[in-house]
Amino acid sequence: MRLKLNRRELLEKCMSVGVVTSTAGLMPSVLAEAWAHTEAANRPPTPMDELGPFYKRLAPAGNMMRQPGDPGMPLEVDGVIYSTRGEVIPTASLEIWQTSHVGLYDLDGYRYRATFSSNAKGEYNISSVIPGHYPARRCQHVHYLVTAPGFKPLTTQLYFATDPVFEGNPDKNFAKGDAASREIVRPVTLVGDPHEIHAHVQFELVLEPL
Amino acid sequence: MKAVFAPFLLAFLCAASSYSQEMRKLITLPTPSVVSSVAVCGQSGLVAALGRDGSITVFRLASSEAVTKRPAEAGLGVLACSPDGKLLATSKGDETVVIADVSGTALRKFAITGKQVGGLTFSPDSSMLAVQLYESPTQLWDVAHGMLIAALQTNFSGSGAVDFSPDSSQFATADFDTVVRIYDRSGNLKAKYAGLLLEPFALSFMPDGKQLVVGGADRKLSFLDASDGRLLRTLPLGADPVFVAWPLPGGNSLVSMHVDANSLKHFTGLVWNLATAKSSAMPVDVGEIVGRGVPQKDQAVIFLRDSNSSVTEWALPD
Repeated sequence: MRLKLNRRELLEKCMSVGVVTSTAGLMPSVLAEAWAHTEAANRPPTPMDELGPFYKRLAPAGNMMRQPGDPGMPLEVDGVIYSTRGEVIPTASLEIWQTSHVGLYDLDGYRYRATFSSNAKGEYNISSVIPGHYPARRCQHVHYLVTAPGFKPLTTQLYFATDPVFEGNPDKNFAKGDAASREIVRPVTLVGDPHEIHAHVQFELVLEPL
Repeated sequence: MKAVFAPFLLAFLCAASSYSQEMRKLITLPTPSVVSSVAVCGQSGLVAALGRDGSITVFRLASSEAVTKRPAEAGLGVLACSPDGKLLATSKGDETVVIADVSGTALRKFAITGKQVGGLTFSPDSSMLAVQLYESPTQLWDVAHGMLIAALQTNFSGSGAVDFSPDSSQFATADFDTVVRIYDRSGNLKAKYAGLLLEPFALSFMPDGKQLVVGGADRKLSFLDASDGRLLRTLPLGADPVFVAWPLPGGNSLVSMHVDANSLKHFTGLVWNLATAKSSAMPVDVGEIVGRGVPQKDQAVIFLRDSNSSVTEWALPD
């Protein structure tokens, strides 16, 4: 016979046979509610996208990739790094690289390459410029390599919904620009003083446990 | 760009050079469709041509006779031929590798669960198959028994290039996490080189098996000791990233192939004299190179796609 238990019944059964014990003296109903809450907080992992050919090790520490006077539209990206269980991941390591505003990678040096960590709340942010259209690809994109102890390394890319490649409809056209999935094509908002407009993108990252 | 730096995406521009004058045209093979790659089956006398339509034609080089014609199979994009000339390994870039005899009869399948196949390389003794995977570490398979020998490890992503030592006792990977790893034939890590900053795309054992040569986005050729991974020397910085580093059989020269980093569209080739560390341009007369190998002792050849219905074999001087 196959039993089909709800969360509360399953917890009661586990507690009754000693598989689960509640040191806090919590009732199964309370534990079941917490369990349900945790399930609701679960997040799908950020889709991976290819590493690309121009990753460079030992990028300088810091999240400021834009230097004073750099041409191109200033870009601010921020987000939070989560586990698939919805917990924030503090001190995750991020390596970020992209082209200049005209679409060229720096192979000799480290322009538009950075290494830094998320903060205690799992937050990160970068200052850069909107990357150019790399001649061999159709999309503007920013590369991410995110690692944290206990989690699978994540290689992915951030794309911009405003990229003309998507013809105003990234839902339909995300694959035209080589984006691996729709989820990593992010909306762009223009913010700031009219004389100092910059683009802002929010890009949350979700890592899978090992 | 795909994880596997498409080994046959290269085209050489036409130009006159002393080197091209030394090349010898050997034979032209008529093909049923546009060829995407040619796999040299060691020194068995056979080569296998994969068409863009997924057809496979196996030729006997001495006579240009087609000994097998497999019909088009949609999606087929990866081909390797065993050096003993007995087996073909193919994949559609999905999660399966099919091993067939050269007549086309499927013998076994390797299931690469959850991974996409990007490249296939037989060991020189034909007993092992290295399976390069999209954004995942390479796997080593036992060909005869269809068994996974080892799923190798990287810090992240997969391999840009792999190669077996000439005696099949060693295996090496140039991985996108910028590490070159050297294994025994059981997949046990024996040595590594972690001195690269940029991704490597090319790797080969030298003919004596004692050294490895590596190239990549750093635009130079690095020679490593195959026993301990130690850097021995580098050849001068070139203009463009290296995606093929191919020592010629005598061990005196090496062909490097490059693609410009800005567009990934313009390809060039150099032939290096390893004694003098000097190079000369290696332009060839026609179109694209779709294959390379050593089909006879001490004779390196390239295959050029010279029309939509033929490829031509050219011998390279060493």
